[in-house]
Amino acid sequence: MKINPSTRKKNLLYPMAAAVVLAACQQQQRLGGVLLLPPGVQPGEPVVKPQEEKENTRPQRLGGRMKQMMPGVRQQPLPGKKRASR
Amino acid sequence: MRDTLQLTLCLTHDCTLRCAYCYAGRKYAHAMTREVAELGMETGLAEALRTGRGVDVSFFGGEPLLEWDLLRHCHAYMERRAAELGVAVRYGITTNGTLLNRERLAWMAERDFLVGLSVDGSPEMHNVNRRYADGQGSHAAAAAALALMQEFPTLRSRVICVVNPANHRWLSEGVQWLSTHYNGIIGLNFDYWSRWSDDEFESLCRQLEALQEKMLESYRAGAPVHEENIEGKIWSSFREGERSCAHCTIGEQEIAVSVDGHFFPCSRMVGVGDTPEITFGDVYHGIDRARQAYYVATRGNATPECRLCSLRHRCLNTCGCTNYAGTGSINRVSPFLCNLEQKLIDVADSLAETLYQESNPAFMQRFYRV
Ligand code: SF4
Ligand code: SF4
Ligand code: SF4
Repeated sequence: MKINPSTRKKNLLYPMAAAVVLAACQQQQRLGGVLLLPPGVQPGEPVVKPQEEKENTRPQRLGGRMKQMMPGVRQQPLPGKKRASR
Repeated sequence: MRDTLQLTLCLTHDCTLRCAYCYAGRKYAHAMTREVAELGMETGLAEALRTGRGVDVSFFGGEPLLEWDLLRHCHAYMERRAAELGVAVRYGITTNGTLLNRERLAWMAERDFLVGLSVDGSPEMHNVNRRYADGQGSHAAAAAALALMQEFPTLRSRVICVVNPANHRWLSEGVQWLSTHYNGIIGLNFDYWSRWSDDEFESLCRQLEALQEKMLESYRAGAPVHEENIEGKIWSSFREGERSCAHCTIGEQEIAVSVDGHFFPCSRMVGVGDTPEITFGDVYHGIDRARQAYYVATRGNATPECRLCSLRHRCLNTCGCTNYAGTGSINRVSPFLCNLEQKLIDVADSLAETLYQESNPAFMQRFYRV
């Protein structure tokens, strides 16, 4: 698999309707609340989603792939606790 | 832009299950102390006050219902402190359902919790990964929890279905199962931490196509299946020439407190103290501002290929945790993400085009309000 930028022209057979601000956040993809425009807003008018809700996903395994991310920043140990050594 | 701070409390690393894709319960079966929880909530409240936001508190694990008393303590503490400080709060939980009962659900429904239940689709699909320590599948418990949830019609809920290389072959059946047992929003949660082989990815694509067919049929039958990735991609086409997706807010609007009190920039990155390089402070020392600034400065997408891509405004390329999972860097996309996003956009567009051309009433109602 490779990263493959798309050159597809945008010529969709379904038109733009009410503009909706979406959260790309994986945890925020709950669209149930986005679908209705607030009173007084016309379709086509951009609206800002009033309130987002938090979604969670289960914790997943973290690999050791992060070595380079924050060079030079040190972790402070918690008082009275040994950090897990894995 | 979200106007809330997302505060996640990992109440315990212990769990009633031993899902194949999760570390919980294996090595760190301990719970958060009240002290850590309270300090974590204070940090969240202070940060919310500082930035003028409300707080969404989310209970997470492990299985947070193992710590039911702690959860209720946190809720009471937060209610009191938030009222004193004038901060708006909402609550949510992610649970595997094994410890859900009517009484607990009623308690959460009364307090307007958003309950996220993890069910990986049908029994076949679910039991591939989601098992008890003795190897038994846990689908029956999850299905019972799902049924129980429907007894509370006003409960805010969603179902989370993890899709990984081991279970993806059941994906379309799995969503079908969920949609016949649950009428809310189904969120497919693709496993970006795993390495997907080319063959596995191809077969995932076939499953997404089958799902597209099922969603099409469901709209035609007047009982639409709502899957949030695909619907999200339809919505994302509705903003011509603009970013359709809010940018990732890690470092700013996300604080996930691990069991031992470290702050992580997104609940999907919470570890067990074994990845200190991605924390940004802890309950005892407060938020590490230098690292917070690092996240804010670094997040987004810096993958050169994406600059040329016509789908970049519809693509999840800014999600820090997804990028981190795939490449070890919060601002670099992985090939899997790229290919999957393009597939999801294709599936969404062809579904939407068909339904639009058919003037499908449920579709028009949902996406055009007509
Ligand atoms: S890393 Fe992803 S899931 Fe986390 S806050 Fe950012 S966009 Fe949301
Ligand atoms: S139920 Fe959730 S926390 Fe428990 S083992 Fe499974 S994925 Fe991990
Ligand atoms: S589809 Fe691929 S190349 Fe295009 S923006 Fe997304 S990750 Fe980048």
